[in-house]
Amino acid sequence: MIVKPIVFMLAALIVLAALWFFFKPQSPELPAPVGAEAAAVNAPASRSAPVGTPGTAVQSPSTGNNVFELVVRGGKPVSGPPVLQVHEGEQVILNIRSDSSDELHLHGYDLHARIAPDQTTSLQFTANRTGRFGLELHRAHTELGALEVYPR
Amino acid sequence: MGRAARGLAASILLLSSGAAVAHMMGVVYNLPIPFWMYAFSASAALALSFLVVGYFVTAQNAARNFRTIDLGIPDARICGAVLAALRVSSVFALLLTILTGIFGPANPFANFSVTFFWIVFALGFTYLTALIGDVYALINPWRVICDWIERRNPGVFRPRFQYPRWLGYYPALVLYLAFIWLELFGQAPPRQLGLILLAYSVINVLGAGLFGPELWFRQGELFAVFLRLIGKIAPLDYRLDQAPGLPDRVQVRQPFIGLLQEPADHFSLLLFVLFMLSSTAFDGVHETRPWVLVFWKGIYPHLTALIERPYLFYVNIYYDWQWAMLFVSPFVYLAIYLLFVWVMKIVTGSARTVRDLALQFAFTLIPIAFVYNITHYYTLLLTQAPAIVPMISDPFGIGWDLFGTAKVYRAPIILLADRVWHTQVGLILFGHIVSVYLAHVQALKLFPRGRQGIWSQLPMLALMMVLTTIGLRILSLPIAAGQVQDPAPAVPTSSADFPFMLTSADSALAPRDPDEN
Repeated sequence: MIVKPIVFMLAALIVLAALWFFFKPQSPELPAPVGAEAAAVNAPASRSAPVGTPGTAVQSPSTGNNVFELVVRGGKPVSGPPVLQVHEGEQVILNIRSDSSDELHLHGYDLHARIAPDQTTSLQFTANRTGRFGLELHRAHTELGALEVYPR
Repeated sequence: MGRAARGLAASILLLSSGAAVAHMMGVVYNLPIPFWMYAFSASAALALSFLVVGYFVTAQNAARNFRTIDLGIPDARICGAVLAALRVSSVFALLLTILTGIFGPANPFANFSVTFFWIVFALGFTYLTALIGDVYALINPWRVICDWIERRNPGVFRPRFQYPRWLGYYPALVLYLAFIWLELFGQAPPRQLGLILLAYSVINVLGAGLFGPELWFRQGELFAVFLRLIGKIAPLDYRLDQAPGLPDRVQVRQPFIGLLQEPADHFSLLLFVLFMLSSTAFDGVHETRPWVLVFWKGIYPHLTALIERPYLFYVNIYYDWQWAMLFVSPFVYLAIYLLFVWVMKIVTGSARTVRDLALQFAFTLIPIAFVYNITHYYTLLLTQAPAIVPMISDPFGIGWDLFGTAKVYRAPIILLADRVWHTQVGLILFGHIVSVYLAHVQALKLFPRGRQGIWSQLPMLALMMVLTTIGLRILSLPIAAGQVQDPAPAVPTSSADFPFMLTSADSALAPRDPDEN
């Protein structure tokens, strides 16, 4: 009997489709839980820090422009979000300032930027590739954080 | 090259900041799946499971229609020649991997051995085995070496010791633990990989010398055991002749049905299967934020309250803790598994022991374990495997260009994140359904039909749901920005309300200069 497997296959497809449309959020509602959680965990940081720019990690996705400030001292990040979250297609501006010369490398995008000591270096690009990409200082062998680009 | 430096410096990276999601195999660019997709797939898994149950309720004879077709051997001479060539190349690949590891470039990303062993063999060949069957049993390089030695010195591999029955597959399990540890935590430079493979070769020849090649390459050699289990998925099966090496016939069967052809024949093999599940789950979870916080928020404060030690001490403890969790993980899965098997025994009133039932159902977990593995690593295969193209022309990194591909630019293939998510969810659902299906067929075989009805099926279904939900949940967890907390800042804040943060990049730990912002 070939009919029964086909019937069950069809039933499976219908169930899958129904569940898919039930769970899939409307398109304007972009995935935010990760950002929200990061913000929650970041909260103590801003409370204890004397001066800070809290919440840089969760910029509003609607602005379409994301400016991140990273400060590095002695090869270690001292300020700035550990995870930069943006959405696909958005402009990203990454300002980095270090007390020593170094080279910044964004994996996956393979972007490199030379950093001169005590000068702000700016890296500008469009986040057109989705995924999670490491942000690394070559000379200090430091993983500064990661860029997370979420699909639209 | 910075990438090299990163691999090498990773062990001293502990203090500076957390490494990204990276292990021996390379860098993963995956994003966690969104929560709604997790909710969708968990519900879908449940709904589809009940469809499978429904299918079986109306089918009395589902277990009947599995058959295998004998293909025989098309032409024994051609087959023998192909096989001989494959066996020689297998040994050649092993030797090349060892030699390039030891003498090749120190940069793990430029070294042939690292990419070949971790990506092409450990991932690529595993997936190939699931398609074409356990070819490895025929071309296992260590086995081939032993055969060659034996041809020169007949009788050198007669079993010297009676292999104790209780030892079962434990040698392979221990080696498997070591292999996964190396993959996740070993920051071994290529040279060490070469030496490790050399040492493993010695172990294999010794093992074969002590217990006989037949037994050692069935129960002792890790990849032989692993790939034999994976090969049961494949639609092709190679029935071995008595003469070692040559298959005496090739069989075609429905995919995955090989998993039902025999039960696990030793408790250690059940543990091996459970470690296939738990090691991949652990790899997925051990760099996620919630998991890392278990130690740094749950355990670390208590430790510091108990003993006063320098910060580095706790970083070491953290790694010991991670390793301990890896080695404990199969036993956690074992406890869960045995619990459900026990419930199944109660529900069905079966006269079989829990142990027997546990062995009977062990292989039905393999599809779930296998799709776990693919969902975690297939993107890695795509991003890292192209690197092998220039490397085969210049495996030692000394300027050769054997095949004219040494200068070929290798672009890593990075898939779109949502495409990766859909593939991951689809694969996990598929593996879940296959496992549920197999467990049902097995249940029909073991428990006389009618008396227990549909209830006998539910414990296994619940177990599969638990395993699949764990797998999906892990995929959806946010990834930790760093593994290790930064040491206390140069000017420590008062220790009482030490602001607890996960990564050095979180600025709270370091004193901050107001005018720097």
